[in-house]
Amino acid sequence: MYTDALRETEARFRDIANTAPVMIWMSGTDKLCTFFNKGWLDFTGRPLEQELGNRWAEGVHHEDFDRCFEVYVSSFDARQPFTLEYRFRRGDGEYRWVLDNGTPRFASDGTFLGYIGSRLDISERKQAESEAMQNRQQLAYLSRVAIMGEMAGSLAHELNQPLGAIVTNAGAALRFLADDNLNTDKLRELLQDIAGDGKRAADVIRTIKGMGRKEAGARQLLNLNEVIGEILRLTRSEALANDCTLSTELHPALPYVEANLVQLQEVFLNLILNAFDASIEVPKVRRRVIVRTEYNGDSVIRASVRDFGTGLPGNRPEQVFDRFFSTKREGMGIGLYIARSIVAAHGGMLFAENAEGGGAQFCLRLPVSKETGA
Amino acid sequence: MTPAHRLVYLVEDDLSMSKAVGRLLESANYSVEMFAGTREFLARPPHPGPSCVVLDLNMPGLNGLELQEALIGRGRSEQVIFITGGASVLTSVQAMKAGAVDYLEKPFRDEELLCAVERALKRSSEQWLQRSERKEMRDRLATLTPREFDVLKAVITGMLNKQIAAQLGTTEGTIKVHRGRVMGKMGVTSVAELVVLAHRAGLTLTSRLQASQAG
Repeated sequence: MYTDALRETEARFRDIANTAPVMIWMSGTDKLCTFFNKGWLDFTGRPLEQELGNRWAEGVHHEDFDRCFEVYVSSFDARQPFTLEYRFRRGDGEYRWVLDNGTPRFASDGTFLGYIGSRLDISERKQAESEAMQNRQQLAYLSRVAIMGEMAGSLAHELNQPLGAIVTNAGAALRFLADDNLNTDKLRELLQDIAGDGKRAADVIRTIKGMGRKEAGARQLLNLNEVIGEILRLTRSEALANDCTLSTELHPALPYVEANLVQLQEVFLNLILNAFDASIEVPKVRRRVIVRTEYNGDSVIRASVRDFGTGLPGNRPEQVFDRFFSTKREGMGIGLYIARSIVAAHGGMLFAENAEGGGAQFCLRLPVSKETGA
Repeated sequence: MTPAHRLVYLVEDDLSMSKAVGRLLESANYSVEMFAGTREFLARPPHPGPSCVVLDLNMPGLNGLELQEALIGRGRSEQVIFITGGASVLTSVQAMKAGAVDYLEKPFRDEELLCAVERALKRSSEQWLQRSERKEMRDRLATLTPREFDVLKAVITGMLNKQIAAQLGTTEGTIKVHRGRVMGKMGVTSVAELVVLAHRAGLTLTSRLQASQAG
């Protein structure tokens, strides 16, 4: 039974809905749509009749359809609000990314009335986001390459060590042979050492190659300790050059994280090299860097890189994450900025604090992967 | 040289490099003593004979250059050969200035290291010989009486017995006797030999004169 007041309310709603710069839809308790505003119809370029019921769903991109359908139905049955992102065909035939927010409606006595939802064309935002991500990846790549360039000397050292051992072992073997003084046991041990050093050199090269790759590659299940291990091997000479003692306290049984290997390595490389730099101002005996991983059984892995250097700017330690903030003469000031954005993209967080007993500590939280990697 | 004279110390923190260099030195019949760090090596009492150290330049704690400095500071005579994974011109110059025998960049050819070791041991044994001669001479000098020492000082400046007798206020005959004893104790038969020995013992004309003036 329509009263004038109710009719007026409804007319006012339609006015507002039709002038709103968003697409608005409503559905009844049977999940079928009963209303689309002008914004919607302008977007699809179709008359209301062709949208009503579930005919509107013809516009959903076929790749997104199943996902949308499932979320819509399951949220509907649970009377829960939902948010969906999917591609939807515009009147000119172009598929646009839209953000759809649906909310259940209830009468004052609590009776379920159906859903009301609004939809926004977010294609531009999506595009900007993806460009921003590409820019970040590009920046991360440039930063990696710059770091590797600066480290060229110590990377060469890391390679010369196993190569030196291989050449020397081979030389020794030839001498023993010439003197007929090489029994099988000695030969076996020698060859094993040569093979081991060959692998060691190859491992270093593999890591360097990964860091030099433009695309960071896909995410995989990783043990954070192993990620750190590879970086420690790469930075060993750098530690020596800075007279820094580099030590680890690693949790022996970390669960996996789902992450990008090269990007995580870049994070730790940045943190560790920064820690060396921060140590320069203090006497040699104090120059220590500790890399730690911790896990207490919950859904987060904690890691930290701690130095005993001069510490962070006391008034605002977090300032070190700002872009182009650098206390180093040669630093670009993007290392920590990149590190933080990488960790954030992995659903984690990175923050800095002044550690008790002096020096800075960079703490990292990364979510444990839901997959076991089995 | 006897095997004891062919002792090589190896100070290298990289286990596999250390094993490899150890093998190479053994293949050339040196006896090798290995140390994983500079402090361990410094803690070892010095070897009483010629020896050399093959020293990795880049090591935690005391690095190679600092160890070289510490050795010199303690008056130890080990000849040093540096090996390094990444040579910088600056450190190589520093190392050579401080008296290193050689400076080899890894990976080096086996002959390079073995030649360097041979050179170092040769230098060390020459030094060792000089030192032991000097010590022996000093020991012999110590057996001289003050009077005999005075006579020695005078003889090596080329004074005649008569002049010495006049200077010391005694007879030429007494000086002759003293001179005979000095030659005997020093184990020489001519004044020329005596001068050479005194020189080897570190007794130069000036230092002796200073010593006599101070006495």
